[in-house]
Amino acid sequence: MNKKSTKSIYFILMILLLFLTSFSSCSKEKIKEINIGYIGPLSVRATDLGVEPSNAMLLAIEIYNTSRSIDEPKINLFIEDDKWEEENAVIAYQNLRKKHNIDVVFISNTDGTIAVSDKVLKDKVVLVNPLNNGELFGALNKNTFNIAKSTEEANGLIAIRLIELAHKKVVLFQYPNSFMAIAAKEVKRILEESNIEIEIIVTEKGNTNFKEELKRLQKENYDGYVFFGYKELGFAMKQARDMGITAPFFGSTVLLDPQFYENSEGEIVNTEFTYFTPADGNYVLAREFLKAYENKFNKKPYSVWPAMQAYDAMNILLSQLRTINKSKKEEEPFDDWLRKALYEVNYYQGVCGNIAITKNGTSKGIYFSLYNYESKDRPFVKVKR
Amino acid sequence: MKIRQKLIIAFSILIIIVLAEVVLNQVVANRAKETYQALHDKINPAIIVLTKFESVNKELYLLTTNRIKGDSKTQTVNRFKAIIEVELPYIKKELLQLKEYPPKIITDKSILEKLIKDTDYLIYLSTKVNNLLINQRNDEVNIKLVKNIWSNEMEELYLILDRGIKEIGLNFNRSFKTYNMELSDSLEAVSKIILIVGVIGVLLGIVITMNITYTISKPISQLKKAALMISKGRLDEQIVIKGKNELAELGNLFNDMSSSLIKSFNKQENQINQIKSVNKELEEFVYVASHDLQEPLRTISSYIGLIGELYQDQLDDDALKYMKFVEEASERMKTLISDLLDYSRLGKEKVITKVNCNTIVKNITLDFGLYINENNALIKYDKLPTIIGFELELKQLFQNLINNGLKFRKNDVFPQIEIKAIDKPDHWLFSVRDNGIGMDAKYFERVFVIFQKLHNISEYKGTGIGLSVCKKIVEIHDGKIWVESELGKGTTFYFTITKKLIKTIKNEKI
Repeated sequence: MNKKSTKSIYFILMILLLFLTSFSSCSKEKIKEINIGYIGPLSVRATDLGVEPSNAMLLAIEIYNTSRSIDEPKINLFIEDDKWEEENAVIAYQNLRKKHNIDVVFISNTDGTIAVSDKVLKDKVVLVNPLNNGELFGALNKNTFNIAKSTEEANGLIAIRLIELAHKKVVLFQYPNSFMAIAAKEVKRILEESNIEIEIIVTEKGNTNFKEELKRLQKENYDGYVFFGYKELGFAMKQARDMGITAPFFGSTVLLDPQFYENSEGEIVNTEFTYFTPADGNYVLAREFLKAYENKFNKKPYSVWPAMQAYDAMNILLSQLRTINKSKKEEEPFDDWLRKALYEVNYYQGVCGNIAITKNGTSKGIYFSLYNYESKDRPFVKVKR
Repeated sequence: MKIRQKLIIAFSILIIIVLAEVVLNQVVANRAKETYQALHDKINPAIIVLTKFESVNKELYLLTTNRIKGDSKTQTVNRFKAIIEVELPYIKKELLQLKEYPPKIITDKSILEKLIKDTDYLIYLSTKVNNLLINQRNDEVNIKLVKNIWSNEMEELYLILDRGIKEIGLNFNRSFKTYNMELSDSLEAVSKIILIVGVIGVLLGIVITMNITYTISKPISQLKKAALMISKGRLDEQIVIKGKNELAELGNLFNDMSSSLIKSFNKQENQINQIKSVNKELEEFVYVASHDLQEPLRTISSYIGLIGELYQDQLDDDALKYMKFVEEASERMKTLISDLLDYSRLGKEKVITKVNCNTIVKNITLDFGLYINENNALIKYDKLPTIIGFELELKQLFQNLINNGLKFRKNDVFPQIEIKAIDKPDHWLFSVRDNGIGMDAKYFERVFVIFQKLHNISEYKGTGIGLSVCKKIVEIHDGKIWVESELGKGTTFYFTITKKLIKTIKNEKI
């Protein structure tokens, strides 16, 4: 055997080694961090719809970041206060984009969601409303998702209850925003189907004197009073009772704002309203979440459903972001990938129950119940029917 | 075949075996992986979905009957809605995915298709019932309509769905067992491949190792033995290494080296014998010459003396002066011849004994007693060894060196001589140091040459044979002699005496 054949053997051995090493493969560049923004009411009005959901989202992200694997991106949450006003929501969104280049934004406010939705689509950002859902949202653009209760469905319960209690003439005070308008419209629709008379009074922002309307309503013998609004309507409750109106009160999902109780000076007691507690969702998971929330923030959320819904919405998003480095193609835009990923969520076991996301970006699976405001210390007791 | 090539081929075979094992394992492991994935990603989820469907179907049956009977509790309504809005659509979607499964997993897809169709219909009917019951709880028409739907379609549909779920469930349970067995077989196959290829690899490894070891170690052992024999003097040792590898080439070169060594040794031996013969002749010549020269010299001396006595009155002063020169020259020549005779006799009468150097030096000191006293000389020595050697020659060696130290003294300094001995592993190292006039380094070799003198006879008497005698004595004791000195700073003579003199002499005799 000469030197040439020896060299050939070396060459063959090298080829074999290369063949063995060819089992390994190259990897693409991984996404290491994703920034998410949250816009909600942290001051002025409906703070239970802003502070507690933001805490719940922080908790979800903290759990995710501490348990994520090396291939899963780190998530950062940046929070902005919109004071429950849609114009503030737009400014807050622009700040979040400019300062933190966010890829996903959560917004609590229905009007804010509508105001920001076009900008979101243009920026290729995905928007999630973690508190409200319904027919209106289904008509928004493809980058808008609503992982929450159905506004119509939740508030429609009040109409069903009014029918059940055989009311004939109902008045509904409505705060001037989209959420309350949708809720009022649904109640009106159901009641009118059952031939029950209903009058909707749209209040003015900041108005605390409802005596004129109440006097008229008392004269016209309205037998059911529905308050779809925020803390200001507490004054209306107090003024109604002071005028001797004894008809039962009904409220919306936001009745548990402590200021509502204060403004009504306790007249809110015995108001029936739609609400959501751990018993309405996955009780075991919900209790675990509330315990973790209390451990982290040293207090319980005053109104549990906004926190629970926000926690589920964020966890659904995280469950998809977790897989980004495995499932997203390098050239695929982030919003296209996330949209498709969210459409695939058809059975998510969250604290609010089993949630599915439909093809128009709305969700199903969170169902509110009817509760009675029994006392300040025991504000929600399930209505027995 | 060359060892290098053998090694390359051997390792190539082993690598090919490992590669074969890797490929086989990959193939079988991939099959096992596919089986596991089918179990994990398809069959198990399908069984879970079917189990859930069975449970949801029963729950929905109960909820529907309750609602028809007037249960309008929010909890019941919400659960009913959750099932028809979330859980049944999810189950339907999962069932649709089962349709994509290979026939090996789902044998009869028509049952599945019917199940999906029925599920869809159940969702439709349940939604219809829900819409009829949700708002109009007291509406008798709606209640009647719902009851009709129930009795005509829904009640039967639940039972059909239940049967369908069970049937598909049986199918997936069978697939579960089949794939489990396949997975088990694949794992067993991987285990067998590892075992069989491992055993083959080990056996082949042993064979290759033994072959290579035999190929390398046997010739090396032969070479080692042959080298040992050569070191013992068996220069004719030859080895035979079969093959055409590097060691066989080394063996041939070894044999060539051995042959060359024999030739070289024989040549050297002849030269040594010739030198010995010439030396012997020269020694005999010196002896005979010096012995025979003494006789005519004695005659010359006698007649010069006789002429001096008989013709003293007839010779003038010049003649007498010349006569004296002749007499003195004869005396010097006599001394020279005597010294030469002594030199040629050195080592002739070889008697090896134990020689106490202390005794020798002590006796020499006594011999030089008068000189020492007159010149305040000092001879220092301490614990000199008892060595094996020729006593007379060793005495002469010490005597000559001490004499040298006393003779070449500085005029204004009392002579001091120090004798030391150092024990080395195979010899003794002696030193004789004086405080005399010293010498230039250029004379270090010359001083040991016979009849070479560094000074005029008028300055220092002597024939110039002393140190050459010393050199010869040291050499017959298998040692070396050398000098270290500096002009005006004394001189030290070093010499070694072997500890193995008997052995050396025996070898010489051999």
